[in-house]
Amino acid sequence: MPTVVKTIGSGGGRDYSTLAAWAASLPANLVTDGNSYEGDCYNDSEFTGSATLLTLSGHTTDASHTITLTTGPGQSFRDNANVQTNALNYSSSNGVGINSSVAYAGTISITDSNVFLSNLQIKNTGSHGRVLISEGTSLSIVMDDCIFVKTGTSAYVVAVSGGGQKIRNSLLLAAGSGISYILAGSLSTGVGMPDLYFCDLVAASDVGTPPIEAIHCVYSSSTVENCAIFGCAALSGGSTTITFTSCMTDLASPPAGVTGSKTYAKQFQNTTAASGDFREKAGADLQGSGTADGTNGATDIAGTARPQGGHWDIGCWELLISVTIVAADAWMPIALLPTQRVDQPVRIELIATQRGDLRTPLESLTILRSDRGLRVEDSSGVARDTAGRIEWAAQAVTEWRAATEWPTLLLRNLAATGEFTAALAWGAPISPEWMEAIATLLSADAVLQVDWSGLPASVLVSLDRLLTSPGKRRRLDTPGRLRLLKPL
Amino acid sequence: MAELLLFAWDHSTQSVPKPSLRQIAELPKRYDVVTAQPDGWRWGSAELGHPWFRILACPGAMETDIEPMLSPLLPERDMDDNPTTHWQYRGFYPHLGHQLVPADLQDWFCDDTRAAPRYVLPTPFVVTIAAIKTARSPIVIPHGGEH
Repeated sequence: MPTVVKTIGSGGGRDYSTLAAWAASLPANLVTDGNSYEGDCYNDSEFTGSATLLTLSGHTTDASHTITLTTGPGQSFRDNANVQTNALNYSSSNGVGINSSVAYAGTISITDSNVFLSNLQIKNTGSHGRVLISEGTSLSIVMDDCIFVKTGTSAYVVAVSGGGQKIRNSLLLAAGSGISYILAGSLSTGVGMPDLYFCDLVAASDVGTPPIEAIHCVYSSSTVENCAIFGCAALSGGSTTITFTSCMTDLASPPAGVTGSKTYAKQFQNTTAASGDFREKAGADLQGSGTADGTNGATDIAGTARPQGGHWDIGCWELLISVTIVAADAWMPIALLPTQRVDQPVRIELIATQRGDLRTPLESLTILRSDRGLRVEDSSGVARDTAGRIEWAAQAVTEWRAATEWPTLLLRNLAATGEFTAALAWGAPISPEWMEAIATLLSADAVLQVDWSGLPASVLVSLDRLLTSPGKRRRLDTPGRLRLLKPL
Repeated sequence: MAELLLFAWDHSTQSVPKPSLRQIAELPKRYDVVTAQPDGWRWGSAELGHPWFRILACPGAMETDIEPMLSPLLPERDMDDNPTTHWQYRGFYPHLGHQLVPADLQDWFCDDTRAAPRYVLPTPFVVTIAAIKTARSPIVIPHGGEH
């Protein structure tokens, strides 16, 4: 079916300057009209007002004649060049933002069926206001990759009920005090609440009165899968049968399908109302704890493909595994004791990409330089954490071997502490009597410098035990495998 | 003070097929204020040219005059909290068909060609927006639902 696409924004050349006008221009009956309609928002300025900014009601739609509100190319917070480092929260400087101070109503109100919202940031600051209201019998409303934030007091973040509704890969944030529920749904007989996939339902950790329940719904049944639910006084209430799958919360004794008693602050970058940043933290319990679901979570709210390194994270954020290698300025030489006598000094540079998820292979690049002009590159280092420790064996060029032991916990806390300890060992047929290894270790976020100050200025590492095995893989899972002999 | 985007289309008589009673209630009606923006607002090309819209600039209008015309008409409810009337798009509208409204303004509103995309109310004007603010009549939900 053809789709009529219109642009919405306050800049020159747009079809509509307001969401309300675009909605009012839709034909009453899209089915007989024969078209679907799409509004593409542009971030010329924030969409603001003190009334409901968008009402979608009274239209006849079906599965082939739909209404979509999304963003134009490059206009969403998801398209922002700094999406990986921007705080995950409402910010109209990051992309299209829709913000109303309306009280006792919604910033957006929908009773139409077959409506799709995506890539939007929507906020409500009014007392008893909602970010989005879709209460009634509307069917098949799907909200993907959105940020819903309510800062006013009372009421709900979103009130959504109907049938076949879904909220996916979205952040639903209660940042005001006394908000009753993050999601209120299924409050009338015969209508259900939306299914939730890969969502964060969170309340700022410093609000005066946290939400009574994250989810409150009375009728029907629902699926809540791969959702992070934190900061509320209770998980859910009402009589709706909710099937939780691979969810996580800070609450104790949650229902089946929800892992409880997890530390809120450990999961997200910042959980406060003023500085909330709900990007997942490296080392969060959410990481790799989700269930595979390519239908509802092929990409996360930032556009990152799932899974990363074979793991599905709970919530709307998927931690990146691979990062861009950047030049690090924190490094130090480590002197290594070789197993064979050599004639020529050789310098080794080790560049290891710390990928943020230590249960997946690390990548390394080894560059050997000697005064004989020799240059060997080895990019086949492999690291795995199979039992809480790191195994890193070299599958190097011919007879190269490499081994190291990286304390897992320190690595996992790297983003938080900025500290790191490691020992390196390298050997080669032409290895020098003293080799200098320069390790440049890059953090997962590519912004954290590795702090080597905790190490001695230089250490000696015995290679004799490391290199006795003829195999290309060595597992270093017992203390003392790397024996630090003495400082230089 | 404000520029009003008014709705000029009448779904109840002009849309084919005719929408249901509930849809008519929920859709914008003729004279409804779709949105209000500050003076000098840069309207989009469709807002300036679409035959369903009119832009009325009201330099003398107060925000308090406009605000009620941007809110919906909520349903009335019975003792059991069941709605007896339909939710409507707006509770009040500026009745530009009112007998006090000058003929040229009425003519402008009826011009679907939108030869003049905007109409600026002179200040002072013979009538004010507040004076022609009119309440929408409730639309009763038939017993047993709509047939």
